Amino acid sequence: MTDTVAPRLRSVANGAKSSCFALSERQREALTGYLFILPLFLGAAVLFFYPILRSFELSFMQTGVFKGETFVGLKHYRHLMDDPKMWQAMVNSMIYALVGLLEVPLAIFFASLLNTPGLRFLSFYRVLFFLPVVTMPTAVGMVWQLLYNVDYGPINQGLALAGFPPVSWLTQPVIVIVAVAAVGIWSGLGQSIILILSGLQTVPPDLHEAAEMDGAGPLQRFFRITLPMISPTIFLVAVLNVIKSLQVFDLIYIMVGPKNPVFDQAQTIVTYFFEVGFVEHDRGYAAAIVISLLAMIMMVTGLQFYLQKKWVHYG
Amino acid sequence: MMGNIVLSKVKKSFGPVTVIPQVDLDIADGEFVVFVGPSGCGKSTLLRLIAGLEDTTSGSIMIDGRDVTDEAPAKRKLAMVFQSYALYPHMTVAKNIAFPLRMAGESADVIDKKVKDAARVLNLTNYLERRPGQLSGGQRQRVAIGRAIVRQPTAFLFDEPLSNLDAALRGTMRLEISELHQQLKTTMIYVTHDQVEAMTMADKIVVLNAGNIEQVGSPMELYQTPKNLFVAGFIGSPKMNFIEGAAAAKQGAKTVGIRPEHIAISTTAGDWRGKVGVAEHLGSDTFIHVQTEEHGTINVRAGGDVVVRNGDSVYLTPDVKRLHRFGSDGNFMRPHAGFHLAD
Repeated sequence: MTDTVAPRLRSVANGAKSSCFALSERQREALTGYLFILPLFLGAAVLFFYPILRSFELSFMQTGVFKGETFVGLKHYRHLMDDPKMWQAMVNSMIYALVGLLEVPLAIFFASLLNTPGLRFLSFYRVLFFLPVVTMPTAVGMVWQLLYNVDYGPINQGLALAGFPPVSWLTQPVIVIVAVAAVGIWSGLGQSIILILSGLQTVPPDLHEAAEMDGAGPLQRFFRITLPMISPTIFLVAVLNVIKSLQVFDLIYIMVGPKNPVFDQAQTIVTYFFEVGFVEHDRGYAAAIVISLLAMIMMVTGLQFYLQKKWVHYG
Repeated sequence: MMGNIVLSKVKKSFGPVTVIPQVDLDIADGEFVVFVGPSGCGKSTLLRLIAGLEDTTSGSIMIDGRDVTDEAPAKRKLAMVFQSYALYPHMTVAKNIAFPLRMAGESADVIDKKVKDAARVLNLTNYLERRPGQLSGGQRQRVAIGRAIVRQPTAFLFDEPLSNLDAALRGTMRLEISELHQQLKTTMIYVTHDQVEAMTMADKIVVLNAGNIEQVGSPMELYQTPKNLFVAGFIGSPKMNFIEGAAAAKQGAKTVGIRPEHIAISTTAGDWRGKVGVAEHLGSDTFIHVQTEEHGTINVRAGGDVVVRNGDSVYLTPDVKRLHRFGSDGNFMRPHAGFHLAD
């Protein structure tokens, strides 16, 4: 590469018109473009492509703490198919992602309120909604653990006031996933609101006025004009949300934790990956889990992209 | 359906800023009325007040004898064409045109018929399944008009509808809107800052300045007998020449005005001597900017065959019968006998 490109680079730098290395305007433009993206490409190669390829390679190896790597072919992938813990983790991750999708309508609702013309203290409300996003998940998890406490948590106290029996939020298999997903919604809502709000603010006011002149009421304007107009933003928020949900680790680990008797039934793919890779030190199998997660995310995102043709309008 | 619109003592303020101090206006059924004025004069605000998109601070708006001041836009039975077209980008042309009908709860058959009729009138039949993004500027404008006409409104409101089009298309669309008006005979209120549009399309022009109506009249009334300096300067292209000082004082006026087309230009003799600054040859006309010693720069509109160049010495002779006199308050003064500008 050095032999062929370096003289060309020198020629470009010097503006020389050597007959051997003279580049056309188009080639020079392309080369400049490639040089600009080179640092980013190198960074991506080291931080993204290598780990992915290495994980992919590891998923075909048997490893141990003091063992080397032995090629075992598709053994780990076959094991995944028969591993009830993995299936449980996948189901939990899907439940978490589905519950997490509730964040989208909530974000649309709050963003629409924040988009009310003439609303005062808008910046204050923005900060208020965004605060959980920048708060450490550890802190969020700990505070919500207290809120969910069966005996003295304010949520159960509120339920008791309303005449309902206490709920074991963090010690019942399915409820624990929903309860943690609700915290995930709470902590991620601000970011989704900001994205949806920016989408709402790009809808030309003329369209609302035209619809108003055409006889559309506020709800008709919202559902027939506003929602279709911000559908690309809604789609983006939904895709990001599902990916984020499928990768959930910290909230589950902090709020439920390995000592919780229900932890095995509450594991998500990433917590299971952590257990296999960093507690059991089976890096080969852990790599197969994480590659499966990647495949799952790609399939779900692909499905979302396929379905978006029916409801996302790019104008 | 009638389309008589009456504005009585209409005032509009945004907080402490009063945009329209007080306007009284009567628009007859079937009239093509153009609101014209410089940017920021309040013409679009006035239109939006009529549309109901802005609330009046005080005063009343009557449509066909019904007070609509506090009514929602949709209930006023008006249709509006926006400067930006305001087409719904996620809907096809057919759905855009059908939108007001669907909102009115019309049946599918009626909607289909009306959309097809509008498309035929506006030459949009082949584009009904396209999205606005796939149309040219002129076609989009037609869709916006189509969406307005299917409602069969009491009046059409146009807010600078042609300002996003190129000059050639603007001319074509101007003609199409005028033809549409002749065909529908519905009241149309049209906002523009382009006085050519105002002069060519209007039955009645309303000249606005700083939220006040300066003059209301037919295009020729405004051209021939402007009520004041503002109207005289605003209507007509190129602008009327204004002369002040001793020459005007001799005529008992603060200012006298003469339109560029009412000044004869000669290379041999005339009332005022000057040098040609810039000559703009438009083919049919030549706009000549002449630097005179007595009155500064005087603009002259001559025939296209007049050949003058920068620096040429020329003589100008105003048509004294076409002079306009304005008093110190800027208002028009009737000409007196023996009115003559040159010594």
